[in-house]
Amino acid sequence: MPAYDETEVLVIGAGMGGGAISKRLSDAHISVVCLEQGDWIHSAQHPHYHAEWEIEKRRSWSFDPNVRKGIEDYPVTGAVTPYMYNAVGGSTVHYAGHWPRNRPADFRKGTEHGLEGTIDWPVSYEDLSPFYDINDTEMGISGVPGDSAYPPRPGLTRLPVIAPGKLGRKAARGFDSLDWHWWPSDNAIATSPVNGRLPCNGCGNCLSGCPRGSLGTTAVTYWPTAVRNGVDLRTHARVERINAADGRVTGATYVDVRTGVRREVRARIVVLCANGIGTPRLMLMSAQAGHPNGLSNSNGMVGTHLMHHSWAFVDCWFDEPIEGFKGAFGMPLYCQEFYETDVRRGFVNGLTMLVGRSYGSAYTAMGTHTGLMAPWGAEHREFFVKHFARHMTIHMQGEDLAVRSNRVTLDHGTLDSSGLPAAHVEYAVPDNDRRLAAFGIDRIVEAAEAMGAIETHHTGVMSPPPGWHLMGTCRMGNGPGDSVTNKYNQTWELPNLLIADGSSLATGGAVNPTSTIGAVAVRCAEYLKRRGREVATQRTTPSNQDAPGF
Amino acid sequence: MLEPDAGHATLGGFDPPISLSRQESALLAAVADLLVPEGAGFPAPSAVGVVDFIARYVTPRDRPVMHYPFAAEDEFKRSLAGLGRAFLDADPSRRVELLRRLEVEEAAFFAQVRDLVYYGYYSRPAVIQAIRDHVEAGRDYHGPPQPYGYDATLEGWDDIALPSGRGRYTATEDVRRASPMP
Repeated sequence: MPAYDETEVLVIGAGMGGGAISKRLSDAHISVVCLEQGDWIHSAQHPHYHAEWEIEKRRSWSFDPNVRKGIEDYPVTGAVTPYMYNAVGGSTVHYAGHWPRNRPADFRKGTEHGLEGTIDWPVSYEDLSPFYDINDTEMGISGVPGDSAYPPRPGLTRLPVIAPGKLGRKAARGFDSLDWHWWPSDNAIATSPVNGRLPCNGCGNCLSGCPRGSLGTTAVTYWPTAVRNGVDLRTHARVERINAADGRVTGATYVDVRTGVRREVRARIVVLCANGIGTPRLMLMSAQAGHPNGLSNSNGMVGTHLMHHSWAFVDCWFDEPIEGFKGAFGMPLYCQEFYETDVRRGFVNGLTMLVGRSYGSAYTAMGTHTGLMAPWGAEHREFFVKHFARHMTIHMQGEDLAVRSNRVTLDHGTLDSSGLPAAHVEYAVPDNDRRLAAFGIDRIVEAAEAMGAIETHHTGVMSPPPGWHLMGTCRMGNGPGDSVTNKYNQTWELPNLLIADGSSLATGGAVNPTSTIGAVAVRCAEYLKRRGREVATQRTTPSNQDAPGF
Repeated sequence: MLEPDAGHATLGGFDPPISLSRQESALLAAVADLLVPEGAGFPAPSAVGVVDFIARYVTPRDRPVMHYPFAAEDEFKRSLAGLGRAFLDADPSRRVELLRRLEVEEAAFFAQVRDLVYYGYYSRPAVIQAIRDHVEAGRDYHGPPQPYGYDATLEGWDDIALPSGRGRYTATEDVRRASPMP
């Protein structure tokens, strides 16, 4: 048995990016090995049938790998609550499934303001739009076409929209009374049967994953087909180094997290899809002869310009039942009244208000999203009855600036279960984003009052914000001076090493990033389908202008 | 060879749970019943198995303390013993006083107990039934999200008109330099 395996394309990470790329390449009969450090998640591992489902949100189904502490999880230190999942499906295994797109102006923020390290994307909304559509079809998106806050999408089809319930209907009427924008959300939630996935029955616990397969994780969308196509998906396979020689990458060495056994995979092309923290970590961990600062990092850009979205939670309570425990979590609706830049507000960029549901009765007692905990003793019951199922959380999701000093580095003082260094995060909320978030909180309180809320409680501007959106750390750009890859995802110094995940995003918009990550990945796969031969043989990475293009 | 789920918290807590002495169980029951008093159709925590729930979520002494609520058996029992017989012998108002003092003097332990009581109490079927029976907003609540879900009782958009045309966006070719820059 040789000491290594060979494939045409090696994909690292089986989440949104890795799933989309593996499936699309294997559809075209290109051989793919995918290395994933986590395992498949079995439906019996979800907590939805257990009486203890709420406490398990803080244990086995925490978003945070530092809390879960599985052998497949690597530690993340520093100013961050890192929200990610290491498994087939990646962080789509438990997410809301909320599925907005970036808007056209989001791709032109360098032109619009260029603050801090902000650049224009090297692609436009129009360039990416067809790939959004392909990815949407693969993932199975519910919603209602027709939101005029976005360019028209002729021919767009959607599964039936998730039901808003009393909560969503109340929020919509409140926005209507202010004449503010709102629209039912697109969600990666199957509301009718799709490819063997059971339709959503509105249980509301999407954030602990979905035992029915209704939630659009790549484990139930892309991966079944990719495996049928012959993709060699190896689980428990933690990459410790991407190998390089003579100005190109040759593959990667991984370690089985259960046994510690090492194995090498050689490939003509390597695509890195390990998320906005995992990808720069691996690029930096792969420092070797000829690449002393990590791979493709002569410009020092790897790991920089980390974005999370600025964030605040606003809890709102009403004097009548709104039953927030019911219904697909996703997001029933969103408001983008304040999405685009208006400098009269005192900041650039904007925000989305995400109208969110509640969880169960323990969540009410434990203080919902903002720590308003039920008192113990004689006042407990009255508090509970006044607050349970009369609650909604409105999320203030603001665009955050791409700042060079907000970054991912390595922490050699903290190791994962294979002895590899932890990722370390530095993140400070820029003043612009503080002003934006404070404005957003005020507008949400205004909206809550219009909806009839009798009590609100908020977190203030969260610093650091929740780290469930990991973006920008190996961004695509316009040249080696401003980015890590060209517009075709090729790293500037190693033409056959490509990156396609949250780290590719040059800006984050004020929207959840998964649909954009998927679109970027599908586009990358399509490019490799058409131009893989050139990519596999190029000695230098072409500029955006000189690349052969589609 | 490590098991694939090595490091993970077990759903439902530890099996077997830690064993509690008669006095430890009585203390936890008494504390729980003060934290969430019975009444208005709701049972007392001690009557619905909250003490058993707690015993499953305190980490046994032969296991590493890795997961929420980070309660180690020996430490937990030591703090509990600090309340002691005096707590059990006290009248209700004195018990409240002692618990208030515990909340200040042993804040971490108090928070562990309070969290476990809240999570435990609101996970019990009898409490879910009380919510259905006695809380107007919770008449359809069934605790664990599956297998039923809530589609059967969930309202649609129906009569609410979608606000077509209310949203606006800047087209790619119309993006200009923001001015004056804030």
